[in-house]
Amino acid sequence: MKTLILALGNPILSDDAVAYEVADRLARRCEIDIIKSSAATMDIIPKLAGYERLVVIDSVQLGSTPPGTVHRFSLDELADTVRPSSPHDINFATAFQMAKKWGYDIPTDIRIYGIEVKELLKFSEGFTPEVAEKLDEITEHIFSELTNQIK
Amino acid sequence: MTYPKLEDKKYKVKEKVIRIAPATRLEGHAQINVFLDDNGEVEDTYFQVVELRGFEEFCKGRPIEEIPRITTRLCGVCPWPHHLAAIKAVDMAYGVEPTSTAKKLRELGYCAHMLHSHIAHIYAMSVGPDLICGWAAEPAERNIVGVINVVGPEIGKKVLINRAYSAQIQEIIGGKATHPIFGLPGGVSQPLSKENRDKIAKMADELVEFGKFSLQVVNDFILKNKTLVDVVVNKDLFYHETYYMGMVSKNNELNFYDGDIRIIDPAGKEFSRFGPENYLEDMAEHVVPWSYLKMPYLRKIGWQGFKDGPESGIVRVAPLARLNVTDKIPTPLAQEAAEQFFSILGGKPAHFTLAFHWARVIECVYAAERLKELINDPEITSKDVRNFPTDKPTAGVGIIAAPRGTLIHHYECDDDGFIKKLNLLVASSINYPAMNLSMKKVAKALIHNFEVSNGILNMLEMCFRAYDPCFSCSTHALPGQMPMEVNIFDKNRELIKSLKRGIPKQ
Repeated sequence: MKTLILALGNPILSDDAVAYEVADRLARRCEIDIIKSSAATMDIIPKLAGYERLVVIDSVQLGSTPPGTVHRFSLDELADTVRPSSPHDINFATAFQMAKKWGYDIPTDIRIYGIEVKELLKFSEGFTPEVAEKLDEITEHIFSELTNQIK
Repeated sequence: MTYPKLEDKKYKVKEKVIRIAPATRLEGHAQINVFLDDNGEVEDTYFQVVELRGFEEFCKGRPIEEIPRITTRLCGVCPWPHHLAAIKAVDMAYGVEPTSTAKKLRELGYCAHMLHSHIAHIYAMSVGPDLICGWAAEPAERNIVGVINVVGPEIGKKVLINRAYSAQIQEIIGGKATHPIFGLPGGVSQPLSKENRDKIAKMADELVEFGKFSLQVVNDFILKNKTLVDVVVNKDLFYHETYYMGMVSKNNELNFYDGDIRIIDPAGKEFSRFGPENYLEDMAEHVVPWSYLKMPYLRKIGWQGFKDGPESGIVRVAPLARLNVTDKIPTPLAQEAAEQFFSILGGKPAHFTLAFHWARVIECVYAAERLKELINDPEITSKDVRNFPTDKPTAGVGIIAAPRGTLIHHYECDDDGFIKKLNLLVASSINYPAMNLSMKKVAKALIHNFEVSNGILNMLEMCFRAYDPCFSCSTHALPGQMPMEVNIFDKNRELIKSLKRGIPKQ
């Protein structure tokens, strides 16, 4: 299945780089393309053509689970908010809503992973120990869902 | 339903502080607090900003030539201005002047970025949702999809296509999507191939057409609506007579990439002018106890608190300011639009805060026309794109006209070329005092007797949206929202009402 990984994050904002790292680790184990980006907005739509599966990975702070926990979201869950992704752009769910409306070629299988992290506000390279020690586990979790065709 | 929807039902709040704030777990957010007196009239407002931490520290000790690639990571929204302000500062630190073609390539990529940034703000964030759908429209329809329902699907498609063109041009020139990496001391990393030149030239033609089209949208959906225009030019609402600051060429024409920073007073007279060498003579910063962001002001006037007029050092930047400080826009369509702009708004300078949006559309036209000029310049494909530095770097200041206003980067390095001091004066922070000013005025005019409505609360947000501020340098973490919360406090500063929107449950 032709798969694109959209890794979201800022590589110098501590744990916010987690998606970049996990995407690189996944790429070593299976045939995927990667886009690393700091924002998922309407610009992303034209880049999705030709892929059957889109895997979005980002950091989250829900606060209800320990760092390193892998959350899974659906597009519908993200559509609940009417707020933009930033003061300057539309959110991910809205971008997809627009893309569908205008018949853009977008993947049918979209899976969104949010990795619980500890630090998102401090500029630094490298992860907090809590996230660093979970990197293998996180990668394995997503890898097994992708390779075992788990929906 | 008729659009724009400009009025909605008011309701009484029981408490005396209204707060519009995002959840603390999401980075890059702001919060509005409105304080009411015993009679439910507005006593004061505070617009607070929470910032990311430690960027200056992170940069210290790193080679100065790396900084242009690091500063882009300050933000997923404005990486281009940070890259270019940085590379201009590094040019100065190395004492090397970029080649003519290198400067043109930098400016060309930057024009594409201006379009990229402005198009999103106009259609998806401000003019579309707030003015075309209307500030009192339901939040669920006050977004880009709602806008397209009002204006028609073809306009939406045009927006997406042209925004994608600007993104493609940025990628071709900058060497990377979103975060450019092409700036090097003395020039850029690669020349433009003839093949890419032709590709960009085609897109440039389309972008100029899109600029004209956007002017038509403003005309059809805003200027033809008297009720809307009455709000825009109502001096009791979105109006402040302040100083303005922006980049101009030697003959005071609009320029985004290079030139002096010109400051005019509220009457339109030139007050001061500075270049990278002497920005500290004009700019100073005031610290307030209630926000992480400092309040920049004009040093020669001084900080006089939150008031407008010639005695106050508050200065505004960004599109309206740039149009106010320039004598002329050097491209024909944009100049014609600017003449109409000032004629309708009653002359220059224009002080209407919501006119920032219209000025932004005019800047789109200029950016597209200038992009077209540059791509058709025979020198643009020259291979002479770099003068190599030969001296050790020392200190440098780079200034650029960012989409959100004047942006200044200042670096100093040690004998080995490692950063020992880094200071960034960011456009949105220069407009920060004015945002507070706007918010207080609008809140005072619209909130009486404890009565608010969702439309009124949205109008408070419009006070900052006019400036297209960028406090949140990386608001991209899922769940991808910027929740807001409005708190109302009584005169004893006790919270009496909190209205929340889109804030995840604790």
